Amino acid sequence: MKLAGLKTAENAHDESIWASAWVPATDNRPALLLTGSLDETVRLWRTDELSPAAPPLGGHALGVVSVAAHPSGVVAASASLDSFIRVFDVESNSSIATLEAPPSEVWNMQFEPKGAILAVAGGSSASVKLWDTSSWQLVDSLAIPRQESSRPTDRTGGGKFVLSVAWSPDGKRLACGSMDGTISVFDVHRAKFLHHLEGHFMPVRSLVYSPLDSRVLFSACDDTHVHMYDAEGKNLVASMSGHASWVLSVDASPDGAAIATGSSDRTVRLWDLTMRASVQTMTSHSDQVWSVAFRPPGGTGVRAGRLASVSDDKSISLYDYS
Amino acid sequence: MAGEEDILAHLQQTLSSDPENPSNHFNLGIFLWKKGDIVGGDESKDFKSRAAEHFLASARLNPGDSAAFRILGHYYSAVVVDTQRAIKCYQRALSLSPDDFEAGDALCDLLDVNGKESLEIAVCKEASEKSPRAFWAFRRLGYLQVYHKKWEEAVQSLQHAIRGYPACADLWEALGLAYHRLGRLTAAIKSYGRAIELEDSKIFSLIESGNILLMLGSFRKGIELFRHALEVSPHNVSAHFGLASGLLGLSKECASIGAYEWGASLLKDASEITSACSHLSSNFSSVWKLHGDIQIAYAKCLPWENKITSTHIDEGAFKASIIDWKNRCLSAAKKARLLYQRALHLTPWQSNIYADIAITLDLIYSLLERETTDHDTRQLSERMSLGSLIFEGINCDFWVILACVTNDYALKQHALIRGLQLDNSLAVSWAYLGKLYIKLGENHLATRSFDRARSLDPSLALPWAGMSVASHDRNYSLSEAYESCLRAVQIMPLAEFQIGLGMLAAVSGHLLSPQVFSAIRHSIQRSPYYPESHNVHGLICEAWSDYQSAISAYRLARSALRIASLSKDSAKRCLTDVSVNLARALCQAGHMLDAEQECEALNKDGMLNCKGLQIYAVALWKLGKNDQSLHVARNLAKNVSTMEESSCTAAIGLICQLIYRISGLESAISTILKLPGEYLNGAKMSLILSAINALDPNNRLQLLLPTNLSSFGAYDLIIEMHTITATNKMIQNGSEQSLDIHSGVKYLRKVLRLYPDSRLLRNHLGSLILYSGDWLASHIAPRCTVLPTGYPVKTGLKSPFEIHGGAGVACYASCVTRPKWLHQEPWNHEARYLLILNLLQRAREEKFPHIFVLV
Repeated sequence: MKLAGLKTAENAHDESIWASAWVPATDNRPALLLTGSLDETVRLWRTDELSPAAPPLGGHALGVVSVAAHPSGVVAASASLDSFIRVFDVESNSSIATLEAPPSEVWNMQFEPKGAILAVAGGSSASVKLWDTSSWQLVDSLAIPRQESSRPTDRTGGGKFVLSVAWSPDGKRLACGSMDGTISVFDVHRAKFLHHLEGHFMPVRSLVYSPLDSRVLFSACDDTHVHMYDAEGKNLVASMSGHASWVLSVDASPDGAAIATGSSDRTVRLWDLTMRASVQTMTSHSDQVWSVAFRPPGGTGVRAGRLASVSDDKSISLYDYS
Repeated sequence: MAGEEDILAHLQQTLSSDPENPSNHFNLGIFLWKKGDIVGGDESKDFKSRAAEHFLASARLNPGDSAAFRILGHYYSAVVVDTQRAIKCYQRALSLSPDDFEAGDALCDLLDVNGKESLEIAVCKEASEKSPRAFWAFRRLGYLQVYHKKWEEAVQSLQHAIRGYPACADLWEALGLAYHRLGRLTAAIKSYGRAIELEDSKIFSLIESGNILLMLGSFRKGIELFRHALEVSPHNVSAHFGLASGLLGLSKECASIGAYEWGASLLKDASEITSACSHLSSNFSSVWKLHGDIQIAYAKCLPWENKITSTHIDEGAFKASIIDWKNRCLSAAKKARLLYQRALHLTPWQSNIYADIAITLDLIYSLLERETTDHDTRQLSERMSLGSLIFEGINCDFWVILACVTNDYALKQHALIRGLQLDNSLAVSWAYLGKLYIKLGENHLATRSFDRARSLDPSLALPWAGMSVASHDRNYSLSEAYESCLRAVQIMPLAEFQIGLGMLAAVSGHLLSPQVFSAIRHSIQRSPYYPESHNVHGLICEAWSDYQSAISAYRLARSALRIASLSKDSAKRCLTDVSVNLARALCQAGHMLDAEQECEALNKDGMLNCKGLQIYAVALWKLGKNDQSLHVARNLAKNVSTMEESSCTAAIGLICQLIYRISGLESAISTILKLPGEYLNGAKMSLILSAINALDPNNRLQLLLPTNLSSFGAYDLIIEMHTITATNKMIQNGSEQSLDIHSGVKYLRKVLRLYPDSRLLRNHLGSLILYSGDWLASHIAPRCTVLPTGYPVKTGLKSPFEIHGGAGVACYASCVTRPKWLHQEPWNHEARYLLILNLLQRAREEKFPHIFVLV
């Protein structure tokens, strides 16, 4: 497997780019890349030329920390530092809903694979908030159980600031990563906390399930390691090292054979899951890489794999994955 | 080589002659060991094994010799690699001689490599207990204790070790760290300093002592250390961070004493350093936060520069310069907002960054205020400060921040009271509560809150300023208000406080105070858009008799007023006041034409009030337009009945003076006689009356004069009345051409007995004596005048210096006084003239022609 640089869009935003996601293809258009930035805008890009697909989308008062796209490719959501989530129509950029949470209680978010629920990492609330995507109402909140040692007055939930969230491909499990390095796994249908996955001791900023196996979970952590867990058996399967600084983002390739990571050491790495080692390092960015995203399969006649990475240096890089 | 062979043969010979002597074995062993060191490879091993045999023999024969065991230890650890045996040999060596640092260090290294740390500590402890000279043991023990954070014990071990190795920089550094962690900061600084002295490049010591110095507030020294650290290691993030925070601290110090320009330049440096630092490592949240802090400080410190120096003030240029300054502040604040967001994105669990963003947003809104007042955006800062409270609801500072950023009075009050519930000695909260109550008109509650705040923390500026505002409806005197406002300004040089101080100074007569002067200068630098600051600046310049500056200040005030978005009515009122001030300053500076134009412009708008009329009249009279002047005076007279008492007497006084000057004595007297009696009661009026009366040979106004002079409260007034009476006496008794000076002198002498300490009387008397032409005059005159010290008050009369000078010329006396006079008033031509005259006379007398050259 191999990554080949296709194009880099310099100064794609006015400020650091913090979030990226692919909007799946619909019947009348191919997949688009969605990026969110400190400059308070969200932008849409056409592949492979990385040309703007729409004028910059405003609506946020502070930097955009997370973007997510509905699997149908019609709706997308963006969240900013002031904890407002804006849900909008991708085609027309008309706002569908504004989801408000108490400040500091919105971080990463992801749509359920079937699209019925939007899961939001609840930051200081030490929980994952679930929003219904038809009525845009808060339907549930999966709280991480408090450890006995933590004081009841401590509102931060004993260091359980929830930063990241991931759905298993079958939609039954939800994992969230916290600031103290623990990963919590929930059974969504029973709305029940299952167990913690341990092994990290620093903030876990990104999580992703393998698209092929609902048991396999990958985590990116500030301790510079990428872990591969058996999320059901509570086992650490592998710990992969190679980055020189925090790992900020991880994504799994659609074929399930590889993962890509972005890091504070300004590189993007491709990891071979059979070798469980880094096979390629891309150094196209000049500042820390906040997000990496593989393009989901689908769309008319698009077979080639694509990986996008966004960085503090205001640029977007697009790679061919084969 | 031959020599070595000989020595070997000799050693072997001695050994074979006395095989029971351990020293013979030992010496041979040493020789072979050294040889093994010199040659390499297998041969070395060979030599060393031979040496070891001899050492073994030596040790067997003399089991008390530690050196043999030590070298055996070396042999086992390095050549044979038998750790256990090596450890045993070293232990034996140490038990024989605990001071043996070679064996000790080698043993500890061995233990360390094998991870037997507790054993290592035990060995060191044993050795240190056995011998106080086992410095190696103390050193190692000290390091280990530092490693395990047992600071108290580490200090003792390290201090002992330093006795053995006083030049070991590492020891001093470790001692510094131990002191630092124990909170003994001065001791820590000293230890670190010693380490740096011994070894220039001790980066840890440099940075840590720098940090301590910053904590103690000695920024300059800290900055020096960090700069040094950066020279040693130019990519050190901590050194960058420390340097930048040191500069930030120093700049805040500068800003607090009013050196805004300097502070801003320091902050610029600091900002560059932090950028470099964040480039080195972009995932340190603290670096981004520091950079944000620096930008905020810059936005709050950047001074407005008054580039407009000419008297002609271009309003457009003024406006442009203010907008430019504001934009620079705004862009710094906006930068800070982005930087804080970066910090927050890296560490979203740090509650204080939420509060930082809230404060930044608030600053941005306050800078934008005159352009937008969007309700929605205002809520954002409130929201962010709530974010910080979600994490730490028990942090009372966050409650105060919430109160400051919100616009909702009920929420403000709630947040402040919540802060007080958490910490009932929170002075800041009381102070803001007071401010809130003032805004709501609850003056009684406000003063009580301020009182609380002040007694809890007297070093807080806001309650002092608040007290001076709340003074209106209490028995808090004007001068007390001035004093407390002055205190507030001294504690915190905020533009609003400074302007308030200036205004209080204007009404309480402290305009000449240098503190007020500097405060207003500072307020102009920080808030040039306030017309008040320019206006008060003008008043101060006027009080210092610097009319040119006053004129330009008033003009700036007027431009600022036109830019400011005030309501139409208040803008008009302010504009009138400033214009009247301007006209007065112009008048006093002698620009009568400009003054007249100002008044005319006001007149056109119908905004000419009584003060304006007075100035108008004076300006017209000075320009020689007597008729117009009288016309204005008549207008003024019409309004007299509607005026307040104080301005009324001033107006009437002016009218009388004008009539006297323009139409002469007769019409003045007739006007005065026509005036209703109640207008003539004031002290100033009496002065004018008596002056006119004095000039009138018929004394027609005698009846109107107050009979008892001492009924006046003011001391100065009485004296002046007396001098006028003296003049009156001279006129009355004198002939057509000359005054009867002697009667004046006689009268003044009498009065002087009543008021012996009056300078004015003495001056008068002195000058009269000089005029009298008495042959003794030149001796008496200097004796009855007193030379004043300090700033001489200008009066129309002769100054004491002049009298002294005149007397000096008259009697060719010493020329001591004249240089003094000249020194105090270097612009005074008369003084120079008298001095030259005096020198000439002396020179002529003593026939020293070279003095002419000097002159």
